[in-house]
Amino acid sequence: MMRINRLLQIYEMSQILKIVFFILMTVISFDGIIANDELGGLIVLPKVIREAEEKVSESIVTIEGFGGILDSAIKGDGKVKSSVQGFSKPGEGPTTGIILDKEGHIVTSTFNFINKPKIITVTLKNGKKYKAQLLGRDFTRKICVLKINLNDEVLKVPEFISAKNVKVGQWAISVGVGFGGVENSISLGLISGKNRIFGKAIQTDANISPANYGGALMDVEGRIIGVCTPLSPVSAELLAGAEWYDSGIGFVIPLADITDILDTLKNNIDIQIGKIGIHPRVDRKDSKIVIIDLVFPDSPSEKAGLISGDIIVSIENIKVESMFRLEQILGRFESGKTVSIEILRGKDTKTVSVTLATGSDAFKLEPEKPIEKKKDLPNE
Amino acid sequence: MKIFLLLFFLLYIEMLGVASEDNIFHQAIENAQKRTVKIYGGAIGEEHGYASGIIVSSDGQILTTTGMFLSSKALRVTLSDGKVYTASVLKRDRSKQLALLKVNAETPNFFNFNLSIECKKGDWVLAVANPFKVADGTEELSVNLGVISMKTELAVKRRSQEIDFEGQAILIDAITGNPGSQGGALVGIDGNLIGMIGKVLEDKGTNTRINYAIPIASLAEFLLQSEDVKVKQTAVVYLGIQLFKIGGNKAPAFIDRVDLGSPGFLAGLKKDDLIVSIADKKIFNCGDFDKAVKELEANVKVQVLIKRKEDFYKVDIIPTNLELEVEDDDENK
Amino acid sequence: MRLLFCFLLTLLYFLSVTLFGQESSITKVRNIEEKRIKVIEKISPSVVCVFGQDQGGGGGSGVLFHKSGYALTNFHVVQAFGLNGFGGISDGKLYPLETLGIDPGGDLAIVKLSGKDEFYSSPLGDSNKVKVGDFALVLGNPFLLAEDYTPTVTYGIVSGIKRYQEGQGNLLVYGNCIQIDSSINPGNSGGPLFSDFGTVIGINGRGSFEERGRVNVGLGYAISMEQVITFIPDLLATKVCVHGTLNAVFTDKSDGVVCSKINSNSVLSKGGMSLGDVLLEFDGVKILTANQFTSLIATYPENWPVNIKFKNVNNEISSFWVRLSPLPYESREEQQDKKVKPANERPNIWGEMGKIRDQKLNQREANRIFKEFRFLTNPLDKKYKSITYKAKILIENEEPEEIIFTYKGKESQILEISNKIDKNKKYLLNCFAHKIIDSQINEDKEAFMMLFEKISFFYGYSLLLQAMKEDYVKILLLGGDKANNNRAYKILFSETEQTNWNLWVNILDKDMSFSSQLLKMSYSHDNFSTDYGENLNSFQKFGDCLFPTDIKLVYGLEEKKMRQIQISQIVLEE
Repeated sequence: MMRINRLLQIYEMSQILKIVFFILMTVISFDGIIANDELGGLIVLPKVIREAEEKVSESIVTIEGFGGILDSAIKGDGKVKSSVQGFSKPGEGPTTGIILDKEGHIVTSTFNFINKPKIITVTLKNGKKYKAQLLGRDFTRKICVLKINLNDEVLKVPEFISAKNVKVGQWAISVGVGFGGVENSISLGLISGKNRIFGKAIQTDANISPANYGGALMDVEGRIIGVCTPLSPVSAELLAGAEWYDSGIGFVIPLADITDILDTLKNNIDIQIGKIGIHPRVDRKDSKIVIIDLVFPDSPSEKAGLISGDIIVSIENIKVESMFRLEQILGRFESGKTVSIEILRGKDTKTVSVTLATGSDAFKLEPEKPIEKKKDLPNE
Repeated sequence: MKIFLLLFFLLYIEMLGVASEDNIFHQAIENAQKRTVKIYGGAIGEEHGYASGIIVSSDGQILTTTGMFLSSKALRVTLSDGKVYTASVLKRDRSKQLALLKVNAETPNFFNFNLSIECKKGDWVLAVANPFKVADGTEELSVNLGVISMKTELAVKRRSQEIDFEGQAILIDAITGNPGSQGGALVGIDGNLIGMIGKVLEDKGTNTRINYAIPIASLAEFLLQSEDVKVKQTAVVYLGIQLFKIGGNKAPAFIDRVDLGSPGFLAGLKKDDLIVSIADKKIFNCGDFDKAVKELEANVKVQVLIKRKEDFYKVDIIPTNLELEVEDDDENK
Repeated sequence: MRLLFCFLLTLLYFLSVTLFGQESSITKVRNIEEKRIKVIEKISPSVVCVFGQDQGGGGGSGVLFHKSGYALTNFHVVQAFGLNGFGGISDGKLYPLETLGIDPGGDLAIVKLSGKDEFYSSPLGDSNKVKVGDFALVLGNPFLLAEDYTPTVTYGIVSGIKRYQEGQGNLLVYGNCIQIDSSINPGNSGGPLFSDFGTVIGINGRGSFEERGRVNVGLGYAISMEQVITFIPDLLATKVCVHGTLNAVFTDKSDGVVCSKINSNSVLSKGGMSLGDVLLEFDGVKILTANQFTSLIATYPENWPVNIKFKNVNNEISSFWVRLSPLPYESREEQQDKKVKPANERPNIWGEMGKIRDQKLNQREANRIFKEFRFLTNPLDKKYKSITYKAKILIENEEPEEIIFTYKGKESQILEISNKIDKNKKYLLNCFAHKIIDSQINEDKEAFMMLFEKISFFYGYSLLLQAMKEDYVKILLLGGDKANNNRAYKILFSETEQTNWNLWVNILDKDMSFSSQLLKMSYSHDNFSTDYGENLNSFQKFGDCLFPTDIKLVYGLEEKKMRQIQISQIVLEE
């Protein structure tokens, strides 16, 4: 009897051992999969993206403009152009906007209003349509704010994330309604860079185009990084940058970090590109020296006492060692901002404060008077 | 007990297999390469169109898009083993933009249409095609990675001409709007065919080139069709008039824009004119206008009655032709 | 009952492991992001925004691959500004850079940044391992967007491998290149293509553009790292690189890739290959189509030793080794018609094709490579009084010889050598004159050569060891070559006006790190160099120095073994 029990015990043990052994094998295999997390992560990414889209969807609105002229960029010469910068016509289709707050402010891109529509409507995801009023426009960032009059509509305000918490290399998904105006289209890419376009934009390689200008770039958790807009470091014209659509070069303005700018726009105040009103040139012998060639009359530079022949040493303590650098630094400042400029006149250095003005205010030309141009100071 | 041991053993082996694969795209790409082909129109020396195609049967049937290259007398197909065969066109459907070719070869590797699987927004897609005819002979086709952007009906054009596109399209964010990509395969990471890459077209709303595929449901429908579908009788003529469609099709037919130099422009029509009748057909709304336009003929003068401010005017308008099959000599540079 | 219990137990374990082991989807996705973000943080500091003198008017990208400031870029980027420019890196600063060598045929160049003791560099990767569908990370400066010189990052996959992109004649040809769908735009040129692990697998330089103008449409091309590595020595040597050709045309025919045209000066005739013969293999690669061959040979420099296997009309298969002929950049008409002035009349700053442009820069780089030789395991200032080798010389079909050789500078001695030469005699070697001081041997040049051949390794290697501790100026980097089955730097080390040593130094180890291992040596006297050389293997440490213990005297391009030396003992006297 004892023997049989003994035998049974041993039998049981061996069974249990076998089970334990195979459980261990299973665990190890799973470890293998977990170690290959990479695979699992990529496989579930589509699902994660869909969930993120669902989270922001209600905050993405459709904007339509009606009436208005077909115009070229700001030049306003009255002529009707059919193509600007190789881009055949600004989009006529519906465009995208993002709900900013519960009061009914919507942020979108100035690209959507090139045609200067007479009537602007905003359609929410629930189908309700509202007339919208165009408030302030920021021409340096190419964004603008609309306001709709809500009755008892409760708007879904999305979660915005600061550029500080965004890292180069993380996934980013662009969302817009430009294709058809009802459903969101998405594009997956990475965050390509930060502090682009005079420090104002975050760069992505997700498709950015009229299909989502005014729309959102979000992270994998559905938090909005910024609003999509065409930007270019070369030109500030309204359409500039649109020729780069879907090229893997796209820009968004991080909304969480510009609350004061948005407040200005909400107050119906425009933000213009700031100019100091000079024509610079590079010294013929040393391209690192940037000289003021012309100072426009009644310009911010003239008011600050700058004259032709002054060498620009630094702006806001950043050394100006090339024309490129000069444009880069000045491009960061809006009209109305004051910057300190250090110049070299003969042997003396001098620092002046220059308050930037809008382009038209900085570059005024008096028709009769020839512009006085000072000769180069003799080289010592 | 032994059964459990066996099951566990099998499971273990399978997991090892999964764990050792380090890339989720390789298998799907390999499958697709065998089933996608390079298509050339034009005799050797001629620069006259090229595209991609997908094999859909074991006896050499190949699906591709319609295009100039189909009319070539030297239409030929290069399979994945590098062998070149002359191809003949079995049938085409211009409104779906699809064409079925046949080569005299056995093609044991072909795409099955798994119609039960539904692809969703955000899903990974691999576009396997031959843009810019980069691949030649035995060289593998180019592969581009993207996700599904959305599924939609298309409102498209090619430059200034409107194109009628029937059915749904799958928009993707991989760039497939390139010469030569049309007809290529769009597959998921499981290797299943999701659709066929479409032609180079622009979206009317955004004026941008779109990247899209024709879903397998449309492909399957086409394959079941018995005959060619000729040009559909929609939007055959061009007037150059855009209406103010704020209220949709039921809104009155106010003109929002007249294209410079168009028939409408030459007839003297202007923005804010209200179209009252076309060729004696009363136009109450935008919907009526669209219907009436469909029945117009190119180069045949029609009388249009409009209301401008408080007065009525009669104008004569001569619609021009709109080519549906876009003649793109430089499409395939 | 027990069975059921066991089953339930295991099922429970199974489920708990599944649940416990699985992370949420978001976590999995974030983990991948984190990994990639870390890789980008690591490699970003090695990416260069390349500018000309205008510091921002125009430019491209580059990648630092060596801490001393060497960066790879495209020739067409450097062509825009010439020999001097600036490089901006992610620390926000601009550093002056000078162009070393250029490869107009393959669109490569190496520039050297200065201004920092050590630059961040990225490791090179093996482009042969790249497969279609692998992720491809691109860093660079498209449209010069990087105001602070932090590179733009774009991501996609490898769309195709071994692609061929035609150039302008023989210029800017991309052979066996990598096609990617990661966004590449003007300004990305010259920048790195990284694998997911942060190794440089290619240099971006071209894209397919059409209607939309010069804007990315999903097709970009990168020069494979495989090709880049072959050209690194020539580029560091400040040469204007020239590509290789066989001066023959091959066409696809029914029986294979057939030689359809052969120029009178073609090297193929050296191996007995003629019109109509079928090319089977080129440099060990099976040739299946003419296009494949065209794409492959575009990645080779002139003078590169290759093995060609072919089948003649009688179906006999044979193979031979040749050095590739130079592929000229000008067409024959242009070469003949020198009267015709070029459209842009610029003085040629680059120098002659195939030649070293700047001897001074070249010697600077040669010295750097030389100093990095793995002679010493620890840097030492010691100079040795003598080095004594005890070895066996093995010659086929002959009895092995024993030799003891002592290196003592001018007074080196063969202490003992069995066989053939009198065991009891001590032979003193006057190094300067390379004469063995012994009346009997002195007059017999042939006997001397035979003897010197046996000890040339011991003498030469010891000489180099000692030279390490002095600042030898007489070093020249000749360029690249293949030796002892590896790609190498070929260095000319001048002992005297008449006597030179050719040294071949390994470029990369198997793990793709920079090697500086001496591969082969050969001796030439009075500008007479032979096809003989010594392949060095099995390095071991003796004292504080590394010595090869297995040396093979080889002959010809195929490196046929003539004789082997096996060192059993080395004694260093301080």
